[in-house]
Amino acid sequence: MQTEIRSSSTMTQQESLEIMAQMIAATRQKMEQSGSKQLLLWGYLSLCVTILVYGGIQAGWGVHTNWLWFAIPLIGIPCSMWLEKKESAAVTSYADGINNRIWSLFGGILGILPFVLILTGQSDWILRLEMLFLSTGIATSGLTYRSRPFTICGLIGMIIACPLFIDISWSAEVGCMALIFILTLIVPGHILNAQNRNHV
Amino acid sequence: MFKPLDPLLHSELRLAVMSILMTVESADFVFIRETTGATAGNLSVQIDKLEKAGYLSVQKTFCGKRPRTICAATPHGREAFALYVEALKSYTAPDRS
Repeated sequence: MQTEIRSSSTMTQQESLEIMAQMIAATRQKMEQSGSKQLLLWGYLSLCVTILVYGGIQAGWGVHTNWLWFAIPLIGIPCSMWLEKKESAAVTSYADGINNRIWSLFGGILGILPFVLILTGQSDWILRLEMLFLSTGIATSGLTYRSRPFTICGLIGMIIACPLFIDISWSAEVGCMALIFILTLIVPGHILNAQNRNHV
Repeated sequence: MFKPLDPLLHSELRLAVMSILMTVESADFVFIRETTGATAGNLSVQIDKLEKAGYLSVQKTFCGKRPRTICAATPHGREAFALYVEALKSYTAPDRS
């Protein structure tokens, strides 16, 4: 939708209303074409690291294999910043603004939490709380965007995170985490991708 | 009674720019140019006028090595737009008197 706009001319009141309606419709149409690469980046990276840690422990690399979890932020943050720079949005909607602030908060919590828990000797809680906060963040994003897939995936993620707080086997714990990464990051990422493809 | 229309907003391009910025938090110059279909020079002049009136804020940054201009409506601009729409209603309302 594109209108030819002249610099200045005498408009009728009807023309004023038409311009407003056309511009608002064109802006909304373009905003729907936002990307989902960030979700897929974090989703596949987290899933790969989870499989790597599980494989490492099964292969007898010992408890130090858990340090591999830090590969998620170490690889994810620079890649995410590069993607953001490469695909900086031409327009920021109100929902985008709110979502950015939500993820600044959740990102901060997810980043600081492991260090706080390690320093306080509560490292057993790291993965449990990280999974819960990740799922909560996705559900919050879904509610902000009024996106049903995000909200449902986030809520299911929160439910799947609950068994992590009780004593379950290491294999079951890793299985829950892999499922949470798939449900909260990979599935919504692909759904968004499909929606964008349909709109273009 | 007809309410006076803000002459700054009663121009096609300036009204189009403000209409776009009313629906988003911010938008860059290229997006506004593509959406309005205006030329860069003309759009630049109109944005400058709106900025001088305090209707929008302009932030110049860089995206990689390329310069990027981001525009956002100010609270004063939003109020002016709302008043403009209110004034328009006095022209279009069936029971104007």
